[in-house]
Amino acid sequence: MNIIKSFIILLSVFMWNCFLQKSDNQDRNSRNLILAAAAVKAAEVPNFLSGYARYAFLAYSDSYSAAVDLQTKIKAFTGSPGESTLKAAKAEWRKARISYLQTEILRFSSGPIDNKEILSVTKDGEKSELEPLINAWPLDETYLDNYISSSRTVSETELISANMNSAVVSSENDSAKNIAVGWHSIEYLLWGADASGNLTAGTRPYTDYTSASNASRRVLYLNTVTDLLVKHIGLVKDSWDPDKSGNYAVSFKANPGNTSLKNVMNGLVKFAKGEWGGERLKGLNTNSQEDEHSCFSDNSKNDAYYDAQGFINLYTGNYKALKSVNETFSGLSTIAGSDSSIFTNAKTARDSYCLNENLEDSTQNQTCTSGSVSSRYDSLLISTSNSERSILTGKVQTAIVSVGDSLAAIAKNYGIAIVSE
Amino acid sequence: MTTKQFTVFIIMMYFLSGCRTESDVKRRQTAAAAAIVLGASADDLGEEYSAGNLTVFDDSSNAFNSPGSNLKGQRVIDFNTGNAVFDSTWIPAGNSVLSGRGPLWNSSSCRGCHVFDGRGRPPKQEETELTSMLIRLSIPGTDANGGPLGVPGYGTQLNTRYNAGKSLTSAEGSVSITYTEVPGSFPDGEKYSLRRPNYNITYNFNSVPSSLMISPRTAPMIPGLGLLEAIPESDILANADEKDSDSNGISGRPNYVYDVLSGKKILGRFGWKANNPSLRQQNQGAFLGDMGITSPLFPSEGCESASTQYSACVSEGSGNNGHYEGTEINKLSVDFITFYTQTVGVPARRNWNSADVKNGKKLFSEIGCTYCHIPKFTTGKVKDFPEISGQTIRPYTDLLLHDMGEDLSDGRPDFLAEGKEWRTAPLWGIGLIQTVNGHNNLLHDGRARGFQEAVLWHGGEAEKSREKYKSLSKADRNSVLKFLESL
Repeated sequence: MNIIKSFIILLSVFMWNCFLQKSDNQDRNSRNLILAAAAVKAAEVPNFLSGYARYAFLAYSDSYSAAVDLQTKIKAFTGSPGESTLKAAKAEWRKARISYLQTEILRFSSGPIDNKEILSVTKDGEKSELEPLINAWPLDETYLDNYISSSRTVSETELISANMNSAVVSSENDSAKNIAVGWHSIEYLLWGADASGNLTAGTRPYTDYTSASNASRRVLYLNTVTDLLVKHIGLVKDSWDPDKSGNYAVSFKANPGNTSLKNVMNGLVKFAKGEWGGERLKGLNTNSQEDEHSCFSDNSKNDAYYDAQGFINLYTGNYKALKSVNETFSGLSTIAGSDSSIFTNAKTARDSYCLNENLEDSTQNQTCTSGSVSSRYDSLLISTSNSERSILTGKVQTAIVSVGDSLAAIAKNYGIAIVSE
Repeated sequence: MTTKQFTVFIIMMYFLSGCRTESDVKRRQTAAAAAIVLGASADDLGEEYSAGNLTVFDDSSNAFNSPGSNLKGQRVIDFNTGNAVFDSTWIPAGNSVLSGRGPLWNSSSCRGCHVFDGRGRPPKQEETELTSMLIRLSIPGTDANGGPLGVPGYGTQLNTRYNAGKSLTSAEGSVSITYTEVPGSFPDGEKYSLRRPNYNITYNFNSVPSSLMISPRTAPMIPGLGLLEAIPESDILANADEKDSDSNGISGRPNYVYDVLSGKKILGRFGWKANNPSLRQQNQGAFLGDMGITSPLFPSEGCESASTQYSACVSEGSGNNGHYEGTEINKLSVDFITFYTQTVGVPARRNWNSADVKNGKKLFSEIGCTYCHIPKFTTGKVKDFPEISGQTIRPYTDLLLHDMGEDLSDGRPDFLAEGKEWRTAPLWGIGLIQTVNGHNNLLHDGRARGFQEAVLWHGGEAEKSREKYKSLSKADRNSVLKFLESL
């Protein structure tokens, strides 16, 4: 066989093999790769980053004013503890969570919420980023109870210190920290423990704030952690405020070396796979009621629903703000190319949760559509025979993973490698 | 055209045909196989794929916690669930969620020690606690299963943390480490200094006997563990040479350790002394020993009956909230975390093709390092687990025990492993520890500050190779280090 002949035959064999493999390849990444060339809209990137910064400011502003409303209701409760003031405070907590949850999509992106080099609270020379002071979980109830029953000072600085520091640990290992402040501490102080095996929200009596032992310290503790929440969300809001000097939005929008886009895309993927489609659904996969996220209030379905809503806001560039005004900005869709599945999947992930567990304000409960989860979330976690589980373990998980994959593909179009976790 | 030219020609055409979009791994391996069939030698084609199709192309700080590249669909979801369990922070009994940490513990999450799934280290000078490292304890003799005999009141591990605000008033003890610099020099005159650790341990409970033995151990890396578990036992045993019958000075031997599930002694693969037989047992052992979490395999809380603090310890009760199978972590969560530890991918090699690295690789072999750091294995067929089955992997370990000399000895036996004996550490991924974990503290106790110090601490069976390394020219020594960095 001469060389030319063998060359032609071999090359044909390899190319045919190659063709077969390509046509057979159903992997979405490669499909996206083919679409990639047309999908890069580099000129839109600055607009999107401005849109992102705008959304961040709007969302944190809303969360801030909702937290201020919560503060008002909590002060009303602690000033005059009773059934109705407690109920009003609980209802307001649920309402305030709606705004905060829609900011969660901004996490993991090296921004003010969780990068302590950009924004931090310092205590005893140790810096903490804001997220662990606002939304840390799991809450150590016994630690919090012990703190209240001890003689330790209840003040903003002391509680920050208690939250940040239990023992001197290395900066990379926060595993010995106690959680004393934030959304879930307020949740626990309003609802009380999620008595296990008992499929209800916590049932803390208002008398914990009147006649129970340490009632006055509990009042002080609740007021203090609420004040801290308002203050800390305010700090994050301010860092995105275009009118504040030295605000983060300026350097963010400058996007040196494409860093901002890189951080944002990585944050979005991490949020989708790790949090929204990971941590939030863990208890379901492991049949573990102890993995329920907002366990004291039974607000877990709202966590998932409004996490999805936050993503949809950022993707579409459409945000229904608290004041009921539709705010628009350049969303992720402007740089995303033609992959429409990302929006459909996010909507699926959102609408599969039927929000019907608001005991304090039943007007907020949805009428459940077919295909959405109407069961109590905590019962769903442990009841393997409940047919609604498959909505979340099947459809929702798959949808969120697809969102994550689509996001990674978009990032790749812009030369951004996604690092997992 | 010679055979060799012809081989190169075919491989070139193969790549010319434009197939390099997806499944690069598989294709290169096919090419490698073709090359082998056609008699090409020297290069290990596809050598950058450290973990076969599980290899991940990520050299960032997340290089150690990515799903193996061949995981798809539901398997990625399962991986993410396992990852979420790995990252979960546990809190004490008496809480509504994730309840059951302690009463005595070292870390409240897996991630706490295995930071970014990477390598643990001793505390830095300004740090006062062990965070990604622990101290094993025992006294002479063996327990009923042939393992280390626990110290009365403490057991086999020093828990340096405890649930404050409950019955206990302190942890089992605390540790501080100081170092003595040990200077040395290469034959070419270059000087170096190694640091020898000294442990000062305060024991808060019972007084400890003078026969006490300790073994400091840093947290090992997670990438690739499932592949190590999938190496056929016969392939590991084939490298054992207890009597050194080939007279090369290397006498690797297997550790046989207690398998809780079967109640038998089986081959040990994991841990610094190959003292654990399976990931399932290793993981659940760590849940109990390191975090104080009871599990299906280890359902009893680790309160030591001889401890002066025994009643305080048991008074905390269980954190299972009356749920599940009566343990603090349930079987499903254990299944997910086991799956996770089986499927974390290993980063691909970087710069594997540079002349310097290739020279280093050649020298690494020539001076005898590969007698124990065996470059390549093929995993066996694992039932219902195609991702880790039949993979060509390059872990650079034989998973056997070797005498590493008096300097590295902890003097504490662990099943068949003597004080001087350690399992050959896998080397895949080590070049990225600096990137992921911000340090390069190597060996079981993290005493080595970088690859060269790790090499220089090698004694016993590795002494000859170490001396050969020392005699290399400075440039060649650097090549070896470059090679290690490329792993």
